[in-house]
Amino acid sequence: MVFSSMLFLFIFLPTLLAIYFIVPKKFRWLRNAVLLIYSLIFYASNEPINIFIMLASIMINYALGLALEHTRKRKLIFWLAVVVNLGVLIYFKYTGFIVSNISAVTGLDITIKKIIMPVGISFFTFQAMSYVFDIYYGTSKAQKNPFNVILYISLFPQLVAGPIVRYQTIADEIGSRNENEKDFTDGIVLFIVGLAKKLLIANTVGFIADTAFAEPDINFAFAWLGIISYTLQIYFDFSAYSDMAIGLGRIFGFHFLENFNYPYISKSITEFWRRWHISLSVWFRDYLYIPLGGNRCSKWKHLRNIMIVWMATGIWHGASWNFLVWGLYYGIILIIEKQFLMKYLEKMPDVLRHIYTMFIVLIGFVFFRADNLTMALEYLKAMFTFKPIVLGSSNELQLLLNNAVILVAAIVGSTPVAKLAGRLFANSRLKAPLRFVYCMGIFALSVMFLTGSTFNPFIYFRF
Amino acid sequence: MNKLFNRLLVICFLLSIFGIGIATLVSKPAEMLVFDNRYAEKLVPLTLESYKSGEFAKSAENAFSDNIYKRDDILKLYVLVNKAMPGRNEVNKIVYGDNVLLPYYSTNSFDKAALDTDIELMASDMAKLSELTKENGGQFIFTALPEKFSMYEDKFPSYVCNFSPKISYVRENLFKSLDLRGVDYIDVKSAFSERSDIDELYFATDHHYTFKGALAAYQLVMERINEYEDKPLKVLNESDIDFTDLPNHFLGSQGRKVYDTYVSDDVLTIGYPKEKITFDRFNNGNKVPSDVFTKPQPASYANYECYMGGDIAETLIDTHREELPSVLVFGDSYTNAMETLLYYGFDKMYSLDFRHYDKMSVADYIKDKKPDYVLLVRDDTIYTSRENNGNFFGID
Repeated sequence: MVFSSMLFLFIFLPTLLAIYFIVPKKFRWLRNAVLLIYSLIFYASNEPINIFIMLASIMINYALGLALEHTRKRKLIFWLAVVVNLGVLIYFKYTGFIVSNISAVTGLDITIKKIIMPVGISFFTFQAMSYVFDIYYGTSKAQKNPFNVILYISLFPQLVAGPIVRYQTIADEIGSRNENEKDFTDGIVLFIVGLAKKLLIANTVGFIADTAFAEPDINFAFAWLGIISYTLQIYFDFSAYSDMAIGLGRIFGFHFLENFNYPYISKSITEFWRRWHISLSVWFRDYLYIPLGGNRCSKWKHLRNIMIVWMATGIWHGASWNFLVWGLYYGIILIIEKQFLMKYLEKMPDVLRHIYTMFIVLIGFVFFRADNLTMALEYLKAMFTFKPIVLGSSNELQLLLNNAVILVAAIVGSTPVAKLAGRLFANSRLKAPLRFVYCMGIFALSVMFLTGSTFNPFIYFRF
Repeated sequence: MNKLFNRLLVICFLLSIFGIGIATLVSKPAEMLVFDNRYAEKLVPLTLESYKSGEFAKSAENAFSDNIYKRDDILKLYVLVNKAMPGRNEVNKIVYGDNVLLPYYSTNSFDKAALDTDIELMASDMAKLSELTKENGGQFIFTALPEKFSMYEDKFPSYVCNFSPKISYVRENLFKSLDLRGVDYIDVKSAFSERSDIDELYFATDHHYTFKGALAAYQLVMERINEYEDKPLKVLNESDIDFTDLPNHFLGSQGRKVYDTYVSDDVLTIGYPKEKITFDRFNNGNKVPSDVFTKPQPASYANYECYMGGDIAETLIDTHREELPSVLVFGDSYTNAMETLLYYGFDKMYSLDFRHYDKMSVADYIKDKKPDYVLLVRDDTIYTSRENNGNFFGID
């Protein structure tokens, strides 16, 4: 089950809302129990067997959290948490990759049984680590009630595709939160906007990208259209999921932090990464970069820290050399920006800075989207090799014309134009009526597009 | 005012999700999804096995989606909204061509080396089947039909892939290879291309040919067969047939994909020879009414399945005229409309569709029945496919 599915929208969500809000606020434990049961049903619908792996991981971290508060060997417990959590992640996500590379290097024919990766393992493992780390660093206290830890990690809005909610962000809200009308309304609006971003835009531009990346003899125009479409797809897909997650959280009184802040208006890569997948960047900053010494160390150690963080960021996204190269690519560019480019960028006109940033982002996403490094290099070659375009030999113009409205909407929607337009009505009596018409309009269109689609997985489910 | 509209938004959203959910659950589940041309998904009973395999969760999702309240209306609206967007020329993998619906092809590229291998294998198989037919006293003829889009290449928008490079390559090289091996074939596309009424040979909203198209192909087949006959067989012409346009609204395979929102002049035509003959018909060994058309109920859609009653594993039409030769026809659905005319010239007409028939291979069937003519009827999207009706010596 995903958010953009009929069963979620018309059965799961309404029954949850009905049962949850029938329970009086004073029975917080009962409301939490309802959320927990629904979260487990949500996960079990995707992972009927691997749910037990998630539960085992949570219980281990719960025990480690308690142990941290009752032992002097705190460092040992901390490292035990690191080893156990990374061990689980490496086993399920990276074993195949590691074994295939060992086989390739040594020439040995090592075969292993296929390991099924639990959906959202990268997200729930990082949340579990966040729980133990926050207790270790003293920013939060260990939960006595194991069900509260299970609820924190398995809370269905953010369970399978983030945002990565740090424990300290919602620790208090698990035991005491105030569901109110404003949050409920804002939550619904965010959910509707996310649903529309996924169904109306991400899926449509995703089709262009898929076609381009599947075209065997692609010309440069099609290659650029393809990667621009993918760049829009990944933003609208992932930020849609985050919007829906944050919105659903808000409905039930949780306040998750923003995960995207119009990354495509950035004027440098440094800025881009402050606006893109914020929860992951913050996680790596707080739990890896700063503990490594951050920038409060020698220049070389600082550079080393940046490269370690970006290698980790890359490989977190997937068990493939592409992702590692993608991470290193950003590590190198960020170092270049920090060391000398930024001072030149700051003197450049905004439009040139923006072009520079988007160029770097587009190239980076070729590595992210391609199935392997060879394909990525072939695609990049096509992007920079001029070949005469023969009309009808491939569908670039058809895809461009057929999806022109959606592409324009996607480009405009990736900027804060709508937000700025909304501000014009901030104090107007028309604000709420306009918001009502807009939300119900895009919701109706989303239901229509949802009905029109049968296969609709989220991109981020594979991470 | 703002608070009022905010509350209205919440109420409308909640009414939508609760309302659609409840309406879907209390509605009678659909058996058949007409526009999808398939049965609606059913909920698999919840067992430990169906839970563990994920089958239960999957079926719950699919069964609910298939039965969502007012599904057909929503889907029709979905097509109309999409089509109304400026620049849209494709919806649900259907291209809006020049007065005709066409299939969407994502690329015109193809792997030449792989195709060369496929062509050689198919030509070789056909040569073996032709030899086997001769050994059993018959003549093999490959009726190479063009699919609708293949005849209507120029009806695609100029910037849309029309698949013609691959189709042309296969045609040219397969025919060359068949010539080298001495396999008889009829190049229907070349013959159709010379006609001035190409627009009448295919439906605008279906990928098959019309009854007129089937008649034209039938005539080519009979003319070829008569080249092997000392005494020519009767070939039906338009003047020999009583044509009837069925009053039912025609729903073509491509019109169905755009939820019948495309307006065309398509009608389903049937035609009986003016000079009647009696015959017995057997479907899969069972005697059925002696008719070659299955007419739809007055309130139902008419569609291509009317011809021979659709795809049937094995059909025998016995006209009890032993002085005439027998014919075995096998192939996909393009055979159906042609068969409504073909039986007329033969003592027995055997028809097999190996997408459904699994008792023996066509080679074994030929050895068993020893037909005088063996017709392989295929359209150019699958000339080189060695599956189902392209698997001559085995059963898929």
